[in-house]
Amino acid sequence: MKNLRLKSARAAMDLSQDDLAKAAGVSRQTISAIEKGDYNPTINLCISICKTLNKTLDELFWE
Amino acid sequence: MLHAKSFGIGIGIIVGLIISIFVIKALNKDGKFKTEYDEMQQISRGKGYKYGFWSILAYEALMCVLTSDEAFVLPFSNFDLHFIAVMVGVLVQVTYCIWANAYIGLNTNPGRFAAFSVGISIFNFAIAFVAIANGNMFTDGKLQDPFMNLIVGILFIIIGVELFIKHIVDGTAREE
Repeated sequence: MKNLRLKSARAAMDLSQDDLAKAAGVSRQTISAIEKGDYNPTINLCISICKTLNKTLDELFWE
Repeated sequence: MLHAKSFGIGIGIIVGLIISIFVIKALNKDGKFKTEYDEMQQISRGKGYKYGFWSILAYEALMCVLTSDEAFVLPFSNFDLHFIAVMVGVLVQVTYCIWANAYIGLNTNPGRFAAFSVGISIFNFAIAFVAIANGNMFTDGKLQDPFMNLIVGILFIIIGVELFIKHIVDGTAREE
Protein backbone atom coordinates (compact mmCIF):
# COMPACT_ATOMS: atom_id res chain seq x y z
CA MET A 1 0.00 0.00 0.00
CA LYS A 2 1.35 3.40 -0.99
CA ASN A 3 2.45 5.74 1.79
CA LEU A 4 0.92 8.96 0.51
CA ARG A 5 1.26 10.63 3.93
CA LEU A 6 5.01 10.32 3.75
CA LYS A 7 5.07 11.65 0.22
CA SER A 8 2.89 14.63 1.06
CA ALA A 9 4.86 15.40 4.26
CA ARG A 10 8.06 15.37 2.24
CA ALA A 11 6.56 17.57 -0.45
CA ALA A 12 5.22 19.96 2.19
CA MET A 13 8.78 20.53 3.38
CA ASP A 14 9.88 20.96 -0.24
CA LEU A 15 12.25 18.04 0.02
CA SER A 16 13.13 15.73 -2.85
CA GLN A 17 13.49 11.99 -2.32
CA ASP A 18 17.23 12.55 -2.56
CA ASP A 19 17.15 15.20 0.18
CA LEU A 20 15.12 13.03 2.53
CA ALA A 21 17.30 9.99 1.76
CA LYS A 22 20.48 11.88 2.63
CA ALA A 23 18.96 13.23 5.84
CA ALA A 24 17.77 9.77 6.88
CA GLY A 25 21.01 8.05 5.82
CA VAL A 26 19.50 5.78 3.17
CA SER A 27 19.42 5.60 -0.63
CA ARG A 28 16.88 7.51 -2.74
CA GLN A 29 15.57 4.16 -3.97
CA THR A 30 14.75 3.13 -0.40
CA ILE A 31 12.65 6.27 0.15
CA SER A 32 10.98 5.65 -3.21
CA ALA A 33 10.24 2.03 -2.23
CA ILE A 34 8.72 3.13 1.10
CA GLU A 35 6.49 5.70 -0.62
CA LYS A 36 5.37 3.14 -3.19
CA GLY A 37 4.69 0.57 -0.46
CA ASP A 38 7.31 -1.82 -1.83
CA TYR A 39 9.39 -1.80 1.34
CA ASN A 40 8.39 -1.93 5.00
CA PRO A 41 11.02 0.08 6.92
CA THR A 42 12.38 -0.81 10.35
CA ILE A 43 11.32 1.25 13.34
CA ASN A 44 14.76 2.92 13.41
CA LEU A 45 14.36 4.18 9.85
CA CYS A 46 10.76 5.27 10.54
CA ILE A 47 12.00 7.33 13.51
CA SER A 48 14.79 8.84 11.43
CA ILE A 49 12.33 9.86 8.69
CA CYS A 50 9.89 11.26 11.24
CA LYS A 51 12.61 13.38 12.86
CA THR A 52 13.65 14.75 9.48
CA LEU A 53 10.05 15.65 8.56
CA ASN A 54 9.07 16.83 12.08
CA LYS A 55 6.25 14.31 12.22
CA THR A 56 5.26 11.56 14.63
CA LEU A 57 5.26 7.85 13.86
CA ASP A 58 1.46 7.89 14.05
CA GLU A 59 1.21 10.65 11.51
CA LEU A 60 3.37 8.96 8.91
CA PHE A 61 3.27 5.22 9.48
CA TRP A 62 0.39 4.12 11.68
CA GLU A 63 -2.70 3.02 9.83
CA MET B 1 55.53 -30.96 -3.53
CA LEU B 2 53.90 -27.67 -4.51
CA HIS B 3 51.97 -27.44 -7.74
CA ALA B 4 53.32 -24.16 -9.16
CA LYS B 5 50.15 -23.11 -10.99
CA SER B 6 47.79 -23.73 -8.04
CA PHE B 7 50.21 -22.04 -5.64
CA GLY B 8 50.50 -19.03 -7.95
CA ILE B 9 46.74 -18.71 -8.30
CA GLY B 10 46.28 -19.03 -4.53
CA ILE B 11 48.85 -16.31 -3.84
CA GLY B 12 47.29 -14.21 -6.62
CA ILE B 13 43.85 -14.45 -5.01
CA ILE B 14 45.24 -13.45 -1.58
CA VAL B 15 47.12 -10.48 -3.07
CA GLY B 16 44.00 -9.55 -5.06
CA LEU B 17 41.90 -9.54 -1.89
CA ILE B 18 44.41 -7.28 -0.11
CA ILE B 19 44.52 -4.89 -3.09
CA SER B 20 40.70 -4.88 -3.27
CA ILE B 21 40.56 -3.46 0.28
CA PHE B 22 42.47 -0.39 -0.92
CA VAL B 23 40.46 -0.25 -4.16
CA ILE B 24 37.25 -0.07 -2.08
CA LYS B 25 38.79 2.79 -0.06
CA ALA B 26 39.62 4.63 -3.29
CA LEU B 27 36.13 4.04 -4.73
CA ASN B 28 34.33 5.35 -1.65
CA LYS B 29 33.52 9.05 -1.45
CA ASP B 30 34.41 9.20 2.25
CA GLY B 31 37.64 7.19 1.91
CA LYS B 32 36.36 4.46 4.25
CA PHE B 33 37.53 0.87 3.85
CA LYS B 34 33.93 -0.33 4.19
CA THR B 35 31.12 0.32 1.75
CA GLU B 36 27.95 1.41 3.54
CA TYR B 37 24.52 0.05 2.63
CA ASP B 38 21.15 0.99 4.07
CA GLU B 39 18.77 -1.56 5.60
CA MET B 40 16.84 -2.29 2.39
CA GLN B 41 20.08 -2.73 0.47
CA GLN B 42 21.44 -5.11 3.12
CA ILE B 43 18.34 -7.29 2.88
CA SER B 44 18.56 -7.32 -0.94
CA ARG B 45 22.27 -8.13 -0.84
CA GLY B 46 21.53 -11.06 1.47
CA LYS B 47 19.01 -12.38 -1.06
CA GLY B 48 21.57 -11.82 -3.81
CA TYR B 49 24.16 -13.94 -1.98
CA LYS B 50 21.53 -16.65 -1.48
CA TYR B 51 20.66 -16.75 -5.20
CA GLY B 52 24.38 -16.69 -6.07
CA PHE B 53 24.99 -19.65 -3.75
CA TRP B 54 22.15 -21.71 -5.25
CA SER B 55 23.35 -20.83 -8.76
CA ILE B 56 26.81 -22.22 -7.99
CA LEU B 57 25.27 -25.43 -6.63
CA ALA B 58 23.00 -25.77 -9.68
CA TYR B 59 25.92 -25.15 -12.05
CA GLU B 60 28.15 -27.67 -10.25
CA ALA B 61 25.37 -30.27 -10.25
CA LEU B 62 24.79 -29.71 -13.98
CA MET B 63 28.49 -30.04 -14.71
CA CYS B 64 28.68 -33.24 -12.62
CA VAL B 65 25.90 -34.75 -14.73
CA LEU B 66 27.38 -33.56 -18.04
CA THR B 67 30.94 -34.70 -17.29
CA SER B 68 29.72 -38.10 -16.05
CA ASP B 69 29.41 -39.00 -19.74
CA GLU B 70 32.95 -39.83 -20.88
CA ALA B 71 32.05 -38.74 -24.39
CA PHE B 72 31.49 -35.21 -23.09
CA VAL B 73 34.87 -33.51 -22.97
CA LEU B 74 35.14 -29.98 -21.63
CA PRO B 75 37.38 -27.63 -23.63
CA PHE B 76 38.92 -26.32 -20.41
CA SER B 77 40.58 -27.60 -17.24
CA ASN B 78 38.87 -28.66 -14.02
CA PHE B 79 40.19 -25.51 -12.36
CA ASP B 80 38.47 -23.39 -15.01
CA LEU B 81 35.28 -25.39 -14.49
CA HIS B 82 35.14 -24.31 -10.83
CA PHE B 83 36.36 -20.79 -11.60
CA ILE B 84 33.41 -20.38 -13.96
CA ALA B 85 31.14 -21.63 -11.13
CA VAL B 86 32.39 -18.79 -8.93
CA MET B 87 31.90 -16.30 -11.77
CA VAL B 88 28.33 -17.57 -12.31
CA GLY B 89 27.64 -17.04 -8.60
CA VAL B 90 29.15 -13.55 -8.71
CA LEU B 91 27.13 -12.64 -11.81
CA VAL B 92 23.85 -13.81 -10.27
CA GLN B 93 24.55 -11.96 -7.00
CA VAL B 94 25.62 -8.76 -8.75
CA THR B 95 22.72 -8.86 -11.24
CA TYR B 96 20.17 -9.29 -8.45
CA CYS B 97 21.74 -6.48 -6.42
CA ILE B 98 21.87 -4.09 -9.39
CA TRP B 99 18.16 -4.55 -10.10
CA ALA B 100 17.31 -4.36 -6.38
CA ASN B 101 19.24 -1.05 -6.05
CA ALA B 102 21.68 -2.69 -3.67
CA TYR B 103 24.89 -2.84 -5.69
CA ILE B 104 26.14 0.74 -5.44
CA GLY B 105 26.67 1.60 -1.78
CA LEU B 106 25.65 4.83 -0.06
CA ASN B 107 29.25 6.05 0.00
CA THR B 108 30.35 4.66 -3.37
CA ASN B 109 31.46 7.10 -6.04
CA PRO B 110 29.63 5.74 -9.14
CA GLY B 111 31.96 7.53 -11.58
CA ARG B 112 35.09 6.07 -10.00
CA PHE B 113 33.43 2.66 -9.87
CA ALA B 114 32.55 2.79 -13.59
CA ALA B 115 36.13 3.84 -14.45
CA PHE B 116 37.53 1.02 -12.32
CA SER B 117 35.22 -1.55 -13.96
CA VAL B 118 36.20 -0.41 -17.45
CA GLY B 119 39.87 -0.58 -16.45
CA ILE B 120 39.56 -4.12 -15.09
CA SER B 121 37.67 -5.20 -18.19
CA ILE B 122 40.25 -3.71 -20.60
CA PHE B 123 43.14 -5.20 -18.59
CA ASN B 124 41.66 -8.71 -18.74
CA PHE B 125 40.60 -8.45 -22.39
CA ALA B 126 44.11 -7.27 -23.29
CA ILE B 127 45.67 -10.37 -21.70
CA ALA B 128 43.15 -12.62 -23.45
CA PHE B 129 43.59 -10.98 -26.87
CA VAL B 130 47.39 -11.10 -26.63
CA ALA B 131 47.09 -14.83 -25.89
CA ILE B 132 44.75 -15.28 -28.87
CA ALA B 133 47.12 -13.30 -31.12
CA ASN B 134 50.08 -15.41 -29.99
CA GLY B 135 48.12 -18.62 -30.39
CA ASN B 136 48.35 -19.40 -26.66
CA MET B 137 44.64 -19.39 -25.87
CA PHE B 138 43.85 -22.86 -27.16
CA THR B 139 46.52 -25.55 -27.07
CA ASP B 140 46.40 -29.34 -26.73
CA GLY B 141 42.65 -29.27 -27.18
CA LYS B 142 42.12 -27.13 -24.05
CA LEU B 143 41.58 -23.48 -23.37
CA GLN B 144 44.53 -22.11 -21.39
CA ASP B 145 44.80 -19.72 -18.42
CA PRO B 146 44.04 -16.51 -20.38
CA PHE B 147 40.56 -17.97 -20.82
CA MET B 148 39.95 -16.92 -17.20
CA ASN B 149 40.91 -13.35 -18.12
CA LEU B 150 38.39 -13.49 -20.96
CA ILE B 151 35.70 -14.67 -18.53
CA VAL B 152 36.49 -11.84 -16.06
CA GLY B 153 36.51 -9.29 -18.90
CA ILE B 154 33.10 -10.50 -20.10
CA LEU B 155 31.77 -10.46 -16.51
CA PHE B 156 32.73 -6.81 -16.04
CA ILE B 157 31.26 -5.88 -19.43
CA ILE B 158 27.96 -7.51 -18.43
CA ILE B 159 28.01 -5.69 -15.07
CA GLY B 160 28.73 -2.38 -16.83
CA VAL B 161 25.90 -2.87 -19.33
CA GLU B 162 23.48 -3.82 -16.54
CA LEU B 163 24.43 -0.73 -14.53
CA PHE B 164 23.98 1.45 -17.61
CA ILE B 165 20.53 -0.01 -18.36
CA LYS B 166 19.52 0.32 -14.71
CA HIS B 167 20.68 3.94 -14.74
CA ILE B 168 18.47 4.65 -17.78
CA VAL B 169 15.48 2.79 -16.28
CA ASP B 170 15.86 4.70 -12.99
CA GLY B 171 16.14 7.97 -14.86
CA THR B 172 12.86 7.45 -16.71
CA ALA B 173 11.01 6.10 -13.65
CA ARG B 174 12.30 8.76 -11.25
CA GLU B 175 9.50 9.96 -8.99
CA GLU B 176 9.96 13.16 -7.03
